[in-house]
Amino acid sequence: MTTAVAPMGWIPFINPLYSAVPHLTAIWLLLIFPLVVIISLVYQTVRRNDLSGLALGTFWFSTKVLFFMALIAVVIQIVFFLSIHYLAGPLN
Amino acid sequence: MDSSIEDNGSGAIGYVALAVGWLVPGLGHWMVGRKKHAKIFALGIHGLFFMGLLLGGLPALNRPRQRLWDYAQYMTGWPAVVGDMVKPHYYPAKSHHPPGFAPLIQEVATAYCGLAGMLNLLVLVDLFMRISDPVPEIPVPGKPTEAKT
Repeated sequence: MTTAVAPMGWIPFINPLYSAVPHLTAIWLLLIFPLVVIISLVYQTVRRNDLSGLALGTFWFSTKVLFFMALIAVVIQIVFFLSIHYLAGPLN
Repeated sequence: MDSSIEDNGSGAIGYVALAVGWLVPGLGHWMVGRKKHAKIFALGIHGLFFMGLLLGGLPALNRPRQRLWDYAQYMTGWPAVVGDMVKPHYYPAKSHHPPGFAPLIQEVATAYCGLAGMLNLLVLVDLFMRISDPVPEIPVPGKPTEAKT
């Protein structure tokens, strides 16, 4: 794997983080968490006039989104393995 | 409810707020008096966009052969406009990939910036609904006014 660093040093917001931090791809799936939390926060703020229960609402909405994304991933994985098994024969 | 002066959004100022809300995420809601909402919108949308920019750098913006993400990123307003203006100075059109190129992280970074723009579009639609129908909500006894998800 390439571990090269940007020739003139890494400049935040100009150069990509992966130029300075090698093996960043290994944690790419964790990047879903801040994305879902921020989307939930903004969506819940749009939906509410009273912001008193915003934190709890954001937490539950994020949990629901992550749960259903995981569920969809599992279903797709099952369909994938079944289609491989029945359409193309068992894997070697 | 922090919208004690929410009816400020009616008339021309509402449409100015809509334009300003595109340019600076959250500022439109601030102009019509929803200051708490505006702070959260500004923090969330700028935060998501700059996280994407931190991950992918300027190559996350205005990507070749990915025009739809580019349009989505433009909905973020000033950060995308400034980023697109600055990008050619650091990454000319025919430049190679950055050192240690990680395509997966680059895609995620592009998506972060694009989704920030889509969130600002959601916020602008909310603002438009409020300025086009500024009649205050009449509370009904026993019925919660807050929308449920």
